[in-house]
Order: sequence, then C-alpha cells, then structure tokens
Amino acid sequence: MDEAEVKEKIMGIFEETFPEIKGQEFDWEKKQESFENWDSFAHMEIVGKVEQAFGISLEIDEVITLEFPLKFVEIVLKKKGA
Amino acid sequence: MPTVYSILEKSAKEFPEKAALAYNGKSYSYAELNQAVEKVKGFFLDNTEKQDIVALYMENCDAWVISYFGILGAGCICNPLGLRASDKNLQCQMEFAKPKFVLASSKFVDKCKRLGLDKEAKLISFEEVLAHEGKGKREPGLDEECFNSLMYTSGTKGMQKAIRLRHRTVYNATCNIVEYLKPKADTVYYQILPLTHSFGLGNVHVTFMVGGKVVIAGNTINYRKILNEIVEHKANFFAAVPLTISMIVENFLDEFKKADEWLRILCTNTGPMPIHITKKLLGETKNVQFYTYYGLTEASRSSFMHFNAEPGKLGSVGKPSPNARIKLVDEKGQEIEGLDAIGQVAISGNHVVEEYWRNGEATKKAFREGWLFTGDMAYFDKEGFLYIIGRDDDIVNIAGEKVSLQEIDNAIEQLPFVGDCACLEEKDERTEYRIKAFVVLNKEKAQDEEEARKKIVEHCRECLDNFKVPESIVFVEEIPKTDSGKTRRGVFRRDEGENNGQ
Repeated sequence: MDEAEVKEKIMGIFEETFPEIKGQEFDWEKKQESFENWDSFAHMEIVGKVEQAFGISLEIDEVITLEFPLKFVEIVLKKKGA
Repeated sequence: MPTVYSILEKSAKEFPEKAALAYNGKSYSYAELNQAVEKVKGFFLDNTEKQDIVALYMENCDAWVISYFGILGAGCICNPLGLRASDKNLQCQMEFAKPKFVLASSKFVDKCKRLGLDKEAKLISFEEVLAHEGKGKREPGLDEECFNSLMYTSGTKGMQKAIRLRHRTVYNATCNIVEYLKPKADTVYYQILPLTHSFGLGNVHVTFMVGGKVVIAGNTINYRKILNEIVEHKANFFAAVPLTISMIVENFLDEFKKADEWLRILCTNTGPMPIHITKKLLGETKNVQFYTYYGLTEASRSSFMHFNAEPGKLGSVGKPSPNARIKLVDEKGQEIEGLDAIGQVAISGNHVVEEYWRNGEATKKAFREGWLFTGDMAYFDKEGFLYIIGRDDDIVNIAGEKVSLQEIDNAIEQLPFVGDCACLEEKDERTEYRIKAFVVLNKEKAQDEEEARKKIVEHCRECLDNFKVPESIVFVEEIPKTDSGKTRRGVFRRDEGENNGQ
C-alpha cells in the first residue's frame, strides 16, 4: 500500500467522522483543537477506524501523539513497513 | 440569596489581583476577567430583555467563560450548545427555545450560517460583542429565582428534555460541592471537561467561589501533555470522566505520580469508576483525594463519595450531599426500606429543578410532591452508602453522555428499507460502551447489506449526535417484541449476552 492510498483512506475516515470538512481542501496539518468537535471520544473513534481499515494495532503511547491527520498517515506507513 | 453571577462578582471584589483564568498563554486576574465580562453584560443589557435566551456556541476557551458570565450578568438565560450535537439536534434546539441571540466564536460563525441558526436568532461573534461600547440601558433585574441556563437531557422516548436551571438551584449545588470538597483559596483547577456539561461548568463555579484559578486545556487527547500541564500550572484540582482516569492510571502512572505532588482534589462523574482502577490509584498516590458523586442535570451533585476515606466501599457513589435527601421507591412510587432493597432513586432538596420545560407529560412522570424520580435503580448498604446498579428504562451512558436507545431506533427506522431496529450498548475497551444496532431489513425494499450499512451510518451522522452513531450494525431476522409491539430490550440484551458467551 503506497502513501497515496493510505492518504485517501485516512481522508475518508476524517470526512466520515467530521462531515463538515467535506468539500473543503483537506488540511493534513490541521490540529485537533482546530476541528469543531475532535474531542477524546471522536479521537478513539478515528483510532478504531484506522486500526480496522489498515489491520494494525496502535499502542496508547502512539494514540496520544496523533494530533493531526498527517500523523495518522505516518504511523500507518511505519506500521505497514512502507 | 446570591446568584451564579454574583459568585464571580464577589470574588472580583475580594481578590481583584488574583489569577482567575488562563487559556492558551493568556491570563486574566479577577479584575481583568470581570472587566471583560462587563463588556458582554453591557451588550446584552442593551440588546435583550430580562430572561431572554442566548445560545452560546464555542469551544472550551476563555471567551466561553467570559460570555457565560456576561450573559448571566445581564439577566439572560445561557443555552450552551454542545459541540457533539448533530446539525439536526442544534436546529431542533433553536426551534424549540427560540433564543434571541446565538453568540459564537469565530470557529463556529460559518457553521451557524450554514445550518441556518441565524434564521431563528441574531448571530453575533464574540469579537462584535466585545467591541460594544454601551454599559447597558436597562437593569439586569437578577435574583435567585431567575433562570440561569437552559440544558438538555435524554428522554426515554428519544425526545430530548429541556431543563431550565434557576440561579438558586445552581448556586445551592455549588455550595454543596464547596461544603463537601472544601477547596481552598489557592485552588488551581485544570479543565479538560466540556464547559457545556454541568460536570465541567460546576467545577468552574466552585473554583471562582473560593477565589481560585481555572486553567482551560487546549489539547484534550494527549494524556501525557495534560499531566505535564497539571505540573506546569501547579494545578491542585482536576476532574475527568472514569474512562480518562482509567487511561491515565493504566498507561501514564509515572506522569500521574508527578502530578500527584500538586493534586489535592480529583473528581469523577458520569459513570461508574472501575474498582480495580480506584484501588490502584489510591495505592500509587500520596496526596490526591479522590471523589465521585451522583447527580443529574436536574439535581446536580446529589451524593458524594470520598474514596480515600472509604476504601471498603469503592463501588458506592457515597451518601447524600449536604442539604440533599435521597430515598428509594417501588414501582408505585412508595418509599422502600430495608438493607439491600433495590428501588428507584428519588431526590429532593434545594438544588433540584421543578420541571421539564414545556413538557407536561415528562414533568408529571418525574416530578411529584417535591421529589425528582430519576429512573436510576439503586440500593443502600447498612451504613447508608448508595450503590447505583442501572436504569429502569432505555437510557445508557456513552462517553459520559446519557443516550436514549429508543432515539437511535427511531432514527434508523425512518429509513424506508428498514423494517425494524433495536439498539443495545456493547462493551468497548476504549470508549467503555458503544452502540450496536440490530436491523431487520424491509424485504419489499431489499438492499444489499453493505449498502444498507453505509446508508444507515450516513443517515445517523446527519440526524444524531456523534456519540449516538452505531459503531456496528448487525442484520437480523426479527427483534423480540411485547404483545403491544414494544421492543423487549431486556430479553434481547440477555439473549445477546448469552450468544456472546457473557
């Protein structure tokens, strides 16, 4: 799986979780606090979807550092050994 | 009697130079905070009538606190809009309450326009309010019987119930907390909870009442950062939902021990605290005093539990708060007594509201002869400690929010290809519980299951708050019903548990 495919899936997960960002230019470095409702519950929801979509398991130490979308891409690529 | 607004007013007079609020590198003394609040108050005194409703739509930030007290100071009712609320929920709330203004932070102004929230009310940004020059043409006319805020809670039939809280009830609840927790004037409260929720907002009231400082966190997902900031700000008061405390104790114990050098009060609420986590926390910390309480928006902080003082009763929510009365009743509403007798919790006291706004049916059911009938089932032990064991209806607790399963059933059943639906709560290691929907497809309007699943999730995201959207959907042949056609959720829950080997 290459970076473009990972990015497409991650973007889909973010757009599903935060429908208000659909149709906007996707900002890969937009931080958690800049989203309308990225709270701890939404965070766990995204983490669960990413784990399921890529068949990976994330440690809590990794989970807490995922503060913007690009971080998810990086961790998936690292876990997948890409 | 004083009002919620007077909590801040009094501390601003007594401790003008003391630090009151900090957010994102910006700090306010009580005098500075009061000055900012006066600006907001002046705007609303010039543009509203007493007890008009003002909806407040902002993220956790300094502007939220300033706006809230400014709205109250003008004698208006603050209607905090939850950040987890769905678009449809927000629109319904606006239509129901018809606020005069929606006061939004810059982050939410565009969303308000997109949702048409500016059709029912005048939309104004925080910056516009601060730019207002007037000090107010009318008197606030504020007294303890005035309404302070408008909140919503889940109803058993899936309709949200509106609760107007009076200054008197909120002030009394604040006094109850102060009397029990005894926070001191050097309190520094680190806030990660939503300000829109009475748990988080109540702690702000408490901190201001004793002349302490509120530090609002920017980031609420990085537990290590949160604990480091507690140390950095020398915060001695922290509150979080059980899940957050569990995550911290299980994964960040070293950082938590460093925070323990400063922490004196740790408070949790909204759900049961896992006993093994409480035991570990008490065993690994030296200073922090750990509390939980039992309460509802209708009757905040009705009991308190101090875990350090009662290590043998870690499953309890404690004894009634000062000035609160709690009894257990049977199905007919008659008080039941006796050890371990299980009954519905009923509460009375000066902190309890008297009705659901514009909902006579729900009011009649829940409020009788000065008592609030909560729907929570519980028992007392021989020392008078209260143990909550569950609900007598379809309300479950998801991520600290009360959720009506019936509301989710109703939303899914709106889809033409759905014949029937019943939702259950399911254990989840990260969010405690999540929603699982069981759906019977309408054979006449057959859909591919994958397509149906996608459409159900999309539909739920449109019309339900995000924490109510099912995490998993299972297609079944039928759902157990009573003779009158009501879902037999208890039977269904038991059968599902057995199927899953629980």
